[in-house]
Parts: sequence; C-alpha cells; structure tokens
Amino acid sequence: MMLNPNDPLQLLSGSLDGTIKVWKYSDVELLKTYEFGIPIYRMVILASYPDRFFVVTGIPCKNASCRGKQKAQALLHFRFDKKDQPEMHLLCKSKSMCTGLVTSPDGEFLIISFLRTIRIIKIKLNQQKGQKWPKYTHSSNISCIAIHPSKPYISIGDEYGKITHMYCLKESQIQDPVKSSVHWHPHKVNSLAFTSDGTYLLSGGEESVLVIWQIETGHTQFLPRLGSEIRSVTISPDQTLYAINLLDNSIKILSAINLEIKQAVQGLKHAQVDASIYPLSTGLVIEPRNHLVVLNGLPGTIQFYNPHSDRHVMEHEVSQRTMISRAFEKDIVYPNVNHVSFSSNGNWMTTVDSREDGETTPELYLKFWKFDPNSQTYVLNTRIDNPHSKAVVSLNFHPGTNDTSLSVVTTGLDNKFKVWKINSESHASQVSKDSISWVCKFVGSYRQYTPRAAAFSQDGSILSVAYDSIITLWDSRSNVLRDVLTLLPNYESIKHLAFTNNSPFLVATTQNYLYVWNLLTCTIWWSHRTEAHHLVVDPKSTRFIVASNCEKSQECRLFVFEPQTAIPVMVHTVKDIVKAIAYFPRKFDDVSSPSNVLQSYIIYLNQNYDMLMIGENFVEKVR
Amino acid sequence: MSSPYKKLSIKKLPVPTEKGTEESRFWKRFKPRCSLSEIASVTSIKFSPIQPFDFAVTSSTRVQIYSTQTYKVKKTISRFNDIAYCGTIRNDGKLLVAGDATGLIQVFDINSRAILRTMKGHNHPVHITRFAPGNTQILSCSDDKTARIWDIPGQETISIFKEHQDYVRAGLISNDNPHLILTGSYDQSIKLWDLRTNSCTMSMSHGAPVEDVLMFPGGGMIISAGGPTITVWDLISGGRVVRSVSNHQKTITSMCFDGSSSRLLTGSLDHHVKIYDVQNYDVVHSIEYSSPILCIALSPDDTNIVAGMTCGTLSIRRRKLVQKELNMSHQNKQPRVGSYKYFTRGQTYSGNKDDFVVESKPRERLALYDRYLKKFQYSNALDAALRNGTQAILTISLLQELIRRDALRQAIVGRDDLSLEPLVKFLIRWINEPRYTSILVDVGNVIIDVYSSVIYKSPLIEKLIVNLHSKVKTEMNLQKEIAKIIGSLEMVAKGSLLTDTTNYT
Repeated sequence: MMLNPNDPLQLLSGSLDGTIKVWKYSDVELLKTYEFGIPIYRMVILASYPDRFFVVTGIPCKNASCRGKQKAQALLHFRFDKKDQPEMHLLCKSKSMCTGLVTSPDGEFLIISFLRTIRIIKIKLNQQKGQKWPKYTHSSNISCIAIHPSKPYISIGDEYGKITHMYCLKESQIQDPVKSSVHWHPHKVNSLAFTSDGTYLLSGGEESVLVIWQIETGHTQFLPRLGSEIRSVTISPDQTLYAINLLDNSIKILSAINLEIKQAVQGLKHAQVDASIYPLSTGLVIEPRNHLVVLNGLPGTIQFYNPHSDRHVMEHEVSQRTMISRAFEKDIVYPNVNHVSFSSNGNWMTTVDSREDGETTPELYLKFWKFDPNSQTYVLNTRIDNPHSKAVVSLNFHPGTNDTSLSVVTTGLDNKFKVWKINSESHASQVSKDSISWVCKFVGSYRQYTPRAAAFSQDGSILSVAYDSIITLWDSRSNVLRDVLTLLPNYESIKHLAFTNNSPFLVATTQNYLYVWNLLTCTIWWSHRTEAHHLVVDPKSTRFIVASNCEKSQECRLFVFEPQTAIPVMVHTVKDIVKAIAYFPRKFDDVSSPSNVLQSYIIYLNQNYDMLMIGENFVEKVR
Repeated sequence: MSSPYKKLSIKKLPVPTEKGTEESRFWKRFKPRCSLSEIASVTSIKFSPIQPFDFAVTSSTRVQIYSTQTYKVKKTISRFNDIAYCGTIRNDGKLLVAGDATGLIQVFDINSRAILRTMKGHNHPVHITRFAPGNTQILSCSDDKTARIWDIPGQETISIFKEHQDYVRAGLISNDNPHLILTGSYDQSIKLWDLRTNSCTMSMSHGAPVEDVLMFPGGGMIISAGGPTITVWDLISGGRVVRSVSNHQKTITSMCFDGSSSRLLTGSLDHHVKIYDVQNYDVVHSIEYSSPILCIALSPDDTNIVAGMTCGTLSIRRRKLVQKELNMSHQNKQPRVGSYKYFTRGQTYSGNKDDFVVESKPRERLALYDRYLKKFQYSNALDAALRNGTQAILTISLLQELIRRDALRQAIVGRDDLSLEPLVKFLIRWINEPRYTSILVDVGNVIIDVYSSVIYKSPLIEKLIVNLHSKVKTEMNLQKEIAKIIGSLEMVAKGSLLTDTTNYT
C-alpha cells in the first residue's frame, strides 16, 4: 500500500488477488483497478513515471516438486499504456523470498533484497543501457533494507539484529563497497526508516524497543516497552511524527519531539497471537456494565472491545508482567488467561490464568477483581494460588445481584468443583469494611467423575454440574445434591451445559448430540444428532444457538432453537469457521424495528479472528 | 512515553488466621529485650507512675530500681533485716515503701535512699505495702491475718482490720474513693473495708487462696486471682460474680492492667502470661516464659512487660513505639534552637483543611533488585534479593519472576562457591515451607543440573548440598507419616459413620 506520489489524495493498494487499486481516500472512492492476474507481494511506483509499476510477484512453480517450499519470486516491471494493456519486463528473479523493495528518493535506483542477496537496478527511461550492478550477497539473512535520502548508501537489517550500511550507490564504489555496521538489536530487525534529512535512522524489532540512531555520532536513543513486537516504522515527511506498527494489531503515532505517544489505533489483539500456544480460551464474554466484549488479548491479558464503534476500549492485565523478549532461541512461555466471568451487576470479575512451560511447576491462579468506579477499572481483590490441583475447566458466576449471596463455581480436572463466596463475617470486628475477600465454601465431587461444565439456573437456585455423561443438580444455597440426570448413550461426555432463560429447560451438548431436558419432569424433552461446537443462550429471550462447524466446506451453520420444540426457528449459514460466538445485547437507542426489540445481535469470531456481527434484518434476508 | 517499567510484584500469600488479629500483632511487637538475673526469686515489680517509668524490683533482702531506658540498676536499697516484700513507689515518684519478713515497714527517700519512717506493729511478714492516693497513708497486709492503715507523718496505725482467718496476701486502696480498701486472703475471702466505719462492708469467697486483687477505675468492678482462676465481681450489685475464667494450669500469682485498663495480664506458675480483653475475658494473646512467674508488670505507657520469676530471672519485653505514637508524644515539644530538629521542623506540616495543596509527585525509586531486573542483570538481581535481612517472600517472588522470564538458569550459572552459598542456604532454610516448595524444587533442580559435575570440588557447597538432601529426606518421611495418619483417621471416621447408619436401621 502506498500513496500516489503525484497526487497526495490518492492511495494505491496492491493485493494477493492480483490487482492494484487506486483509491481516493478523502471521500472513500475506488478510482481505478489494474488487473495483473498474479499475486502481488510488494510494489513501487515512481513519481516520474506514473503509469509504471515495479511489482514483486510469486512465480507459479512449474514442477510439482517445489510445492510447499519457498516460492520463487521475481521483480517485474509493468507499463500500462493508454488502453490499460500491461506491458511486462522481467527485471530479476530469485529463488528466495523478497525481503525488501525500495527506491531512492530521486527515483534513480531501485533496490531489491532477497533472502541473502541485494540487487540494484538503475532506472532510466530507456532502460536498455546503463551500468550493470553486481549482485551483492550478505553474510546473514536480510530482514529489511532502507536507502539513505541523500548519501549514496543503503542500510540493511538482518536477522541477528545487525544493521549494515553499505556504500554501493556511487559508481566508484560499485565493485568494492565500503561497509560499516552497528549492532544493538539482539533479535531480528523488522524495520528501518531514515528521516527525510538523513540525520536519524529508526529501527525496531522483536524487542519492542524503538531505537533512534543519530547517524553522524552513533548516539542512540531508546523508547522501550512499547507493548509488542515492532513490525514496521515510518516517518512523516515533515519529520514531526513517527508511526510504528506493532504485532499486537495496533498502530502508535509518536511525536518526534518528546517521543510521547500521540495516538494509538488498536484492533483485536488476539488476532496476532499464536493460537496453538495461547488459545482463545475465554471465548467471547459480554461485560454487563457497558456491554463490551471481553476476550483474550496478548498472553496474560484480556481485552475489552466495543463492537458497535469497533473500538478497543481497555486492556486489563490479569497477570502482571514486564514485556521482555526472549533471550535465546526458545520463546518465553507467558501466562494465559483461561477463563473470565462477570457477576451480573458487573461489580466483580473472576479470572483464571495459568502458566505451564513443561519444565517448572505449573502456576494456576484464580483471581477476583472488584470494579473500582473511580478509575473505571477492575482492581485485584483476592488471588487464590492453585485453586484446583489440576487445570480449571470452567468458571461460572452465580446470577444473583446481591453482593452477599454472590458465589462462583469452578470445576477442575481434579474431579472436584468448588464454590467460592465472599468472606463477610471474618474479622468483621477488627478489620475495616473494605477488606472483604473470597474463600472456598464448598468442595463437591461425584463418584470420581470429572466435571466438564457447570451452570447456574437463571434464578440462581440450581447449580448443575456435568460429569462425563451425567448431569447432577445441586441446591445452590445449601449445596445438597438434588437430582442426577443420566444420558442414555453414556459414552459421550458433555461439553457444554446451559439453562435457558424464562423456561425450565436445560440444554446439554456432547460431541455429536444435543439434548434438551425438561427440569419439571426431569426427562429428555427432545434431542438432535448434530455436531455442536458452541452453545449460547440469549440473555433476553428463551432462544439459544447451536453452532456447528464444518471443516471441509469451511462454513458454519447456526441453528436457533426455541427450547419447547425440536424444530429450529431459523438456520443461518456463514462462510467461516466460528471460533467463538456470543449474543450481544442491542443498544438502547437502536430500536429501529419495534418487533425485534427483545432480540440481540449475534457476534462471532471466525478463523482469522475477525469479529463479525449478525443483526436481525440480515438473518431474515438470508432465511 | 512508552509504558513504565513494572516493578517486581511481591506475592501475597494467605496468612494463617491466628496471625491475623490486630490484637496479637500488637502483643507480638513486645520483643524480648533483655533478661537480668537477681540473686533470689523476684517477688514484686512495681512501676513508678511518673516518667520515665522506672520500676522497683523486690528480691531477697533488697529493692532495686531499674531504668526503662538502659535497663540498668539506678538505685539499690538493701537496708532490710530480712527478706523484703513489695517495694512500691509513691505517686510522685519520690518515696518508696517496702515491708519485710520481720513485720517491719520502712519508707525510703528514693534519691538519698535514707529511711524516713519505720513502722512497727505487724509481728509476721508484711507481704503488701501500698501508698494511699492522698500520699499520706500506707496500707499494709501481713501474714498475722491483719491489714493496717498507717499515717506516714505520725508513724502510727490508724486502723486495723482483723477479720481474715489466714495470711493476707493481696490488698489495695481504691483510687477513686480512698476510704475503700480491698484485701484478699489465703482464707479464700475477699473483703471490702470502709475506713469511715472501720468495718468490713462486703465479703466474697473466691474459692481458692487469693493471690492478687485488682480494681477497675471507677471502683465498681474488681478482679481477684486465686488458684488457676480469675473472678470478676460487681461491687455495686452487692458482690455478684460477673465472670470466672480459668485459663492457666497452675496458680495465678500476679495480675496487672494495661494503661487504659482495657486489657488484663495474668502471670502464673505455669510459665505463662495471658492477656485478656476485659470486654469478654477472651485470651487475646499468651506469652510463654522459661520459669514459673511470680510477678508481672506492664509500664503505664504500654511499652515494657516485666516478669519476675522464681529462678530469680527478670525478663523484660519491650515494644517499639510506632511512628504515630511517637508523633503524639512529641507533639507539644518545641525543638531546641540550633538542633537538627529545629531546622527540619514543620516538614510534616500538612496544611489546614481548606488550603489548596499542590501535589508533588515523588520520583519512583526502584529497589536494588528491580534496578538489576530492569537492566536484565539477572544474576545480580538474585544476589540483591538474597542479601541478609531480605524477606523470604521477596526472594520467592524474584525467583518466580526469573522463571517467568525464562532466566532462572541464566541467573544461577557462573557462580563460584561463595556466591552460590546464599542461594543454597536459602533453599535449605525454606524448602519445606509448603507455600514455597514448588518454586524452590525447580530452583534446586536447576542448581543440581548446572553444578552437579563440580559440587565435589568445593567442601562448602558439598556440605550444604548434603544438608539439603537430608532436609528433603526428613520432609519426605514426614509427609509419608502424615499420609499414614490421614489414612488411619479416615478409616476411623468412616467406621464411626458406618456404626451410625447401623444404629439408625
């Protein structure tokens, strides 16, 4: 993506689908589309030749043996004539990935770097003649390049964190370029940028430290702890602003004068986290106070997101740590937030976070946070180390609003479920009022089965805990076992469990079945054979959704049920794999269709961790 | 600015509840200060009611006056013919009275130690001598079964109370009403006398020989100690028993109040001093001593607990004044001109209520280990957190942080035996503390991993590792034993449950 050098209001974007589009960003308008037909990785255009594109593309492999390996890439030169017919020249190609493509500010040179080699191409109008630059090879893998705006050298960042200045643009130095290098970064340099007067060089990498090099003196200035790995750095033309793109899906704009953050644009942070190590274990949780969506952010944090305005609202550090980068090849294992739950009035938040690196003793914490109205954040109230001797599989808040009757139930792989309550009576005489804490009030187990899920009924009177294929019902006040419901094909264990709202039904899903129990008669009301990956209950109505992913066709079917009948109210197919799904309450002022006032939106995350919202009208249209 | 450096977060572990009360924390602050040995058992300790709260210790044939500043003897009065009893300092701190085993009562000037008055009349040992609040009279209680009131200027007996059947070993004059005198005797009775009628107005039976009596300010309630029990009496409702508490195993020999009369201290022959809340007479704290206790005293400013024991040891526990109390005590003092305090006066002045306060933001100071952590000098940070006097929880938090940063090995490698020693010592000290074990086992594993090939080269480390090994072994044996006991207890519980159900059916 780049700005058109001739018209600052035009924006060009190249994409892997083989097109370059010209946008007018001031009034969001697509001006023109160039068709290439081959995926575009990088592109450059020059101010002097507006109809020419220098494009890095992947060459389709001819023999099948090289599939899966690194794709060969080539730099092509396109010229569009008046009828938009492309004319193509091959400039150079390499078997490795292209790591950088820059032009000198005067438009004379085009420099392309591959994994280990650098090619310099002199651009002339009739590009037949001209000095042939040799192919330079670099001793280690190149990660980025930049060209000095006025002096004849280029800077190369490599994967060992070294920055090399190579004086190779003068004709006298072509054969034997002078090199000098500076080394601060311990890891790969992700981005290099020169200020337009050429006095400063900015570099950033995995350490999340922005380094500002004063080129003449070699003096360095650091801006540490930016929060996440720096992916790219750019400088505004008037040199007053630096913009850095971070790996946590955010862009921060810094003032060049005092290096303070002026503005930050933040997306969903989880999108950039390696999902195999840090899974999206919290799911989508709706915060009851402001109806924000809460989900995993960076490891050890949770993110509060407002889907209406598509804004990142707040990041909450569940396990406090200083951002540091790895010291060796192996990555540092960060704590991960496993579960988040809120009390129904939003005064309390409970989290479970754990850290397990396979070497040292695993850590497991259950934390209770109290909402602080002054700072509008959650403040840690109680931390319980190792609440269960094995991993915690579920965490549920009692739906009551009264602070004294609040309770939290956790189930663990150690075959126990525990009920936690506010410890109100202890030290009541001596200690001041604000020192309330949470303690474990009840530990329950049932025949050494493993509890997989737990749920409170809507009025909070019944706690149901699902053991493998058995559902137990407990009186939540006295913690007495009331009833046991057994599933018939008892070789499948229950994965999700939920009470429906305003109706005496209990929904349970196993790997292949969906069961709805009537709690008045304690019998199975109806059941279905579906693969249910997610189960959510509408907080405003009696409906519930079962989401069933289909890996093959990369789509997901959402069944909306009323608990009374086995026939779905509606079926909606989305063309994504649903990773997490939740009902999202409608905004108060958003009562455009009075008939649907009670119904909520559905939001879900797809396989790319994009958040999508389904409104009623849309669903009706699809239906 | 980018996000600031986050300090090492110190773990907070749950504290066992018995440590938790404000009360026990307060009494725990009384740390053993020194213990002095007298030539014979200490029979009486009395604090002077005026600053600087010197105390008179009676033992054998002498009374010594100790300073609470230095705990050295300031004055020794030894002009007794026989064993002295109950050296008591007068309200103004100028006179001291003591009885002796011949029945003589002597009044001394504390400064010159001169005998001012000698009172003869008792023909058996006098165990109790007290000044009356008006400072002109003395109460004495003797083994000849009488209690007397003496006039100091005239050196003569004013009243004799003769109704006791046995030794009178406890007595006091009410501070609020100097006409009321309370005595307790080995005939198990407590009697209240009125000087105006010279007769006994109330008699109560404690049920054991009475060793000590106390009267609450106001004079409405009294406490008597005898045998292993203390009994609280309500005088106004005619000598009704309010409460009777028995927490000691052996005879209670001495009692005293704290400065505000809200706590009661009792010392007993079972080596314990117990502290009661006088609201409900629950024991709020208990201190154990090495020998049977004969007398106990708490200084009027609640800073020193002095206990005298049968073996002649005088044990002093002292509490440091917290900053608030210090400020209160120095509030009205003007510093001397020219002193350091004079120039720094007013530093803590916080302004009037409606003044506008410009908040100053103090620069955040990082602890040494935090500074090293910030610079990624893990080995130095670990050393800084292992220095003497560091709290164990801090070291544990740092080790946890190092594990989180994947830097534990980095912090441990490359040490010689001297720099490895504190870490291994720390391991030995804490590895069996259940809250720390999991982390310390990881640390131990890393140490053994790194140094196992060179341990034998250093005798110092080798010895420590052997220590560690034996400690781990004992702990494991202990755990095995505990598991056995739990198993057998469960069996007993299950068995009793079984018999219960059979009974029902």
